[in-house]
Amino acid sequence: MSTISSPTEIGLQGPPTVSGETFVVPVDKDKYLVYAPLRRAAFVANPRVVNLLSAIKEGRYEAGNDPGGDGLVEFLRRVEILDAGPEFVPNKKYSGIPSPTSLTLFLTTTCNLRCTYCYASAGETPAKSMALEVAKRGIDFVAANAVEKGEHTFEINYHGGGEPTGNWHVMTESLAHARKRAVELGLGPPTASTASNGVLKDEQIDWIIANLNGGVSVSYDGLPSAHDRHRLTVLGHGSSGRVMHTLKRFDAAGYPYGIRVTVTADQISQLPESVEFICSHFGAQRIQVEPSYPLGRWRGAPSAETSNFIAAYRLAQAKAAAHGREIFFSGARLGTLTNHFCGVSQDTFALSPDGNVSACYEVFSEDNPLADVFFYGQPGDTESGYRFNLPALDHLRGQSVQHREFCQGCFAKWTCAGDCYHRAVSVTGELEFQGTDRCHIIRELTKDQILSKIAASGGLFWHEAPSVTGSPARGKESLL
Amino acid sequence: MIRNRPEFHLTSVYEDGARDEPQIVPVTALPWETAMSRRGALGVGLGIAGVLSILSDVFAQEPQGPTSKPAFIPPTEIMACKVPTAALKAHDQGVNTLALTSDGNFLISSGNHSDVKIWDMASGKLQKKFETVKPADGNHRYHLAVTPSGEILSSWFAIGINTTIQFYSLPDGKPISQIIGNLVDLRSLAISPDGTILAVAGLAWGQVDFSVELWSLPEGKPLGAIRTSERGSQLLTFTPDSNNLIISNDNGPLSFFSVKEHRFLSGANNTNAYASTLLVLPDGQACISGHMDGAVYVWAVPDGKLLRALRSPSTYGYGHDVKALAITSDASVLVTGGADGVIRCWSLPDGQLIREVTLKLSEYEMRSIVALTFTRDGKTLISADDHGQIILWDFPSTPPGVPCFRSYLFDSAATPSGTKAIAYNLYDRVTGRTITYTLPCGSPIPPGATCTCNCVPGTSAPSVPQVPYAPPTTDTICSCNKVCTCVPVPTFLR
Repeated sequence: MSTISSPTEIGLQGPPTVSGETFVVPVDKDKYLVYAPLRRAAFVANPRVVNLLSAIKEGRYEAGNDPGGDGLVEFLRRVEILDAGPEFVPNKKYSGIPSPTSLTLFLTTTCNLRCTYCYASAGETPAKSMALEVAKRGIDFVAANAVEKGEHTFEINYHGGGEPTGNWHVMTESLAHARKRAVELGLGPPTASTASNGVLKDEQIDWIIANLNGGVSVSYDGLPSAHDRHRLTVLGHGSSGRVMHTLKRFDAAGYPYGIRVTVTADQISQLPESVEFICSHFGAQRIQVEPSYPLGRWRGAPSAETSNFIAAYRLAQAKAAAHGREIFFSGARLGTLTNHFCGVSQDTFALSPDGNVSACYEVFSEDNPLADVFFYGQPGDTESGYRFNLPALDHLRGQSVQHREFCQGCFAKWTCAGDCYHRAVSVTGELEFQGTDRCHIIRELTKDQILSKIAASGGLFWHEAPSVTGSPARGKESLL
Repeated sequence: MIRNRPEFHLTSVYEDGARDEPQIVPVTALPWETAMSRRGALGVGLGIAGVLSILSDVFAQEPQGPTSKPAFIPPTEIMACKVPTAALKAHDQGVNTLALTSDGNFLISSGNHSDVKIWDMASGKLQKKFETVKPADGNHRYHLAVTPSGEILSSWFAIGINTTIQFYSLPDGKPISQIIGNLVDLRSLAISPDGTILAVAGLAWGQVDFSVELWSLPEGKPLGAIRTSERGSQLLTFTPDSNNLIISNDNGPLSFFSVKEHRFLSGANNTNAYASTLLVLPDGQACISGHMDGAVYVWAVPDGKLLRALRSPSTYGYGHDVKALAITSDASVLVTGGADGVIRCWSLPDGQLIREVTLKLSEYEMRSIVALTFTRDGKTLISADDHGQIILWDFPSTPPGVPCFRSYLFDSAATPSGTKAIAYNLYDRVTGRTITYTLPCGSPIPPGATCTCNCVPGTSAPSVPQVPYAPPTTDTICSCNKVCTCVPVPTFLR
């Protein structure tokens, strides 16, 4: 049996000090989750532990006066909540002229479906499709940046406020151009991926399997009845049969893909069965589950961002676990320590069909009411390159979590990192983040993840070495 | 809608005034197993003393006492020791040799393409890498040794160019001095254990005989040359007292040379195949040679009498050259590594084969084990192969002679693009440090280890629920975060 040592016996001088940011989250009556996110440490304790730790933080604790406290100090040192030196604070930020090596192309606003909850209202907005020259300009720009930075290659993502494969000619020709450009510049083959509604012809599936080495994210809502209620063709028919055909072809080819499940309020109760259906029938590498966004065609619809969603999500997690799989929700990601939810603050370089530069995957058109906020660049006057609105870009760069007053006291701040800025602004109408209904979901699911970590680590505490995320980029990037 | 700002920072919570004992509350189930209420996932609180007691049980891994003579254990009976199969590399073009510093803090490895890497053994991480000089004409062979004073000694030669021996400092790898010798076709290097003599074997320039040149260290002054034979001197090694030099010759015999008296003492001449590796026992009373025909011989020093011949039934036939030798500090277990990719463990002095571990790239491709060494505490065996991998093996004293794969020494720059890996942390109770090891996807991790996540974001949920806290008794598959469990090596590490 180990002895409980006083601080002097273990060679430390002076009173113990709390090593960094520590949170206390109630989980039950007289039971609190003590969580230090940047130490990746957590445990559940009674109020006495919390109050002793609080006394240490406030300098009110005296060693030797309290045998229970001395033992607690020993334990807290083991999990690096006390006396562990400075913690790594994620502080990835950009400055100066952006120099991206990843390109997103919003190929078209047209779509072969009319999903009821479409955030882009695809099919109801003026049809715009990107010209090949627009795509090539963007490709040449990121390829040149990759050479200048000494990177191995560059990346292309196809996205849409519509279905990207609807602009098939530009998708295929632009990738061919990207490959050619990479060879000319001595770069490795570019990584290419796309989002898709999965309603594809077989020859399109063949091309994707053969060419998109970065995989596909397919929107698919699980049970055919659930999928067909909301994801309809132009003629009002369900699209599940076509999408399942695509998924089965991907599985047969061993092609990597992810599934994105959108859950509307009326579908919440079916979520566990939908996940069970997906896990039983398809081999998706990643299953993302999101409540429907109150945007676009779904603005004003009943919200799915409710406690019922949390309950259904938990049951769905159990279903996935029974198949040895996992589901995930974008805001609850304990595996990440970061200061940004997405690329909005990280110089995302996404081109609208007209060739202007947006930082947000959901703001793909200059007609968007928030275009002034999220568009920050346009083609330059010469044949290549872009002009950037640095004040607009710097505003976006400032959307990392350390600049969010609202988030400072939240225990999920270094994993959620402020959630989706566009969504928050669209829903609240406020440029300054004031929280949304998603915050509660994020906190509850993050809490679940922390408790899962503790359970998986033996049940008493969780402690892992923090991992460094992110890759170097220019503008200038600093990591503290 | 105005929402209250969340505030969860550490602060006191309400107590009813009683000074309860501080308690840690176990989490006994996964949250989704208990539907909406977390109460079902929480156990009864444990006092701090009990928690610390459990923690010390986990970290304590007291070795068992020695057993009697070990019996050969067929591989099928060993369930916990897995054999690695995937491609986490230390060198992209094969390892040439290994050398451990005398304090055990650093392992130096050289690759087939003049790359030298310094590994910090406390953390398991690559500390430094550099390239030795490459001759312009491309004809070169590298040898590596480490002086007792902690300098790396690396040599190279090219046909037609004199032997150059370059010294590098540790741990920064800076070149410090050079010796230019008169030998070409360098065969071997050895440094005396007292660090005062460097012996170099090769063909003397302009001569037909092979020679061994002796140099003083650290001055680098020539001490003389020993003519050996027309057939050449392949390998060199000093006895632990630094008095004698053991030389293997091209046609098989060993020669024992007294450095002080500058004369040959005797020789061992009972083998036809030439030695491909040499080792001296810690007490200096015997030496061991491994041969191209797969045989291993134990010779008395200095009279050269054959004490024991070791051979496994699986080594008859082509391709079983013994290329590497290592011995435990108590000389009770000899480990051999072969061109057939097999690590064999033998009990000494009886010479009984205890265990064979085969490293294979595929059903038809095997690796060649090119170097073996033990750490100072004898608990870890380090192997290197011509595929570029350096593997760490747990080498418990009970049962003796049964290496269990633990981890790789891993350089992301040498690892093929697209390789995926997992990482786990293991708390080293002796040093008080947490060491991160890297393994191929799906590998089991040892008891007490915790997973880390090493790149892309994702949620975290265990795939295998654990029972209330108890030291695991079997290997555990890494189950931290399925997205992070098995991911490509980050490009920014290349």
